[in-house]
Amino acid sequence: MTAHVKGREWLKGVKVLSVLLSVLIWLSVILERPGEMLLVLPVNLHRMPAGLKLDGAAPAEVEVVVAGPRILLFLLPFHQTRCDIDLAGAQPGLQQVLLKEAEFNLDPEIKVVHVAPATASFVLAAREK
Amino acid sequence: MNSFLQNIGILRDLLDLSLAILIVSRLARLLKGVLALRILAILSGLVALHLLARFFSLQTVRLIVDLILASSVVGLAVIFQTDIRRAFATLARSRTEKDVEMSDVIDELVFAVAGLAQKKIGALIVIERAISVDSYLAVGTDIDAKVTSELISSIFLPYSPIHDGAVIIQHGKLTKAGCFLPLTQNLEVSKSLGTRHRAAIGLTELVDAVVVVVSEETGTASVIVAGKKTDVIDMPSLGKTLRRLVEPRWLK
Repeated sequence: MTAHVKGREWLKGVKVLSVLLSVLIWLSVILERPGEMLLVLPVNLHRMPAGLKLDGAAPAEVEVVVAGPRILLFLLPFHQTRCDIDLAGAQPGLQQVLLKEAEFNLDPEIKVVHVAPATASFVLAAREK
Repeated sequence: MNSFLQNIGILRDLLDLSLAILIVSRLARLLKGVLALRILAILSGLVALHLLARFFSLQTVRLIVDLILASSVVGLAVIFQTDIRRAFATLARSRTEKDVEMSDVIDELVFAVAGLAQKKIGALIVIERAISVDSYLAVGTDIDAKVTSELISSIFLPYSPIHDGAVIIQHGKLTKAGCFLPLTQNLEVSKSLGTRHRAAIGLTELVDAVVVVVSEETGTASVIVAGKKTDVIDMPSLGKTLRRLVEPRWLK
């Protein structure tokens, strides 16, 4: 192989790799831009105190608008994200739980912008012995 | 109005990407050899790994990759210091000065090389350009004389005590003779080349000097710049090549 041909191949290689590196750098920049996403998450009631039961229906789903770097939002629909309501220490009667970030167990970089409904209301009743 | 702003955003992104490609490819082309390709490939791999680590929230991998990427700037500057220096020296060259009348130094050099080549006497002549060669020279005898074909020819005569090394021309003066130059470590250099050529290639890989080599086996002359050897067909073409490569300001 002549030096001329080698030189041309080198130049071609440099061009291809330069484009690849530039695109990757560019992607890593634009994917860090903040974005928003609407998620419909199932509601899960857990740590129900012994002797209590759900009386009637609890909200099955909540709509959540989250914001954060786009790269983290992409995979969010595929994660098993849900709204976990901790019922430890709950008393019988009407429960009104304000749905906050802690209930969704999201990545620390993802913030909850809006939740609908903002409060989950349901009734707990004592189990019959 | 909204779609106009959206289009502006897309155009800005495209401009951003195009400029990034231009900057990276220009920087990459300043670097020489296979190592440049490897470095580009490794950097691409690291940025891709960073993206994957971020995508899948692999915090430890991301931390390691980010640390490597951050320190790679210093690493690259160390690895490619000679290429970067050479690139800046090339950028600093002014094209307008090329038209200035040729100096006597080159005529004397060409005359000396022609005589040495005809007699098959080996010679190694270094012409310093923008980057000083002093720190790469070993041994050597200080001379500080006007460049004349007679002086060059007499230095390289086999019975001269300093005929084995290189003659150095700095600022249009013959400043040193009998200097030993660093040999090239490049494995791609042909095994048929002798020590004189290897020394010339070795020095020009480090600095932007022009080196003229006369082979004592074949009696041919060659010009070596930036680690690349070009055989000289005849003496007028050697003069032309040297006038093209060596600007008058480097001979002052």
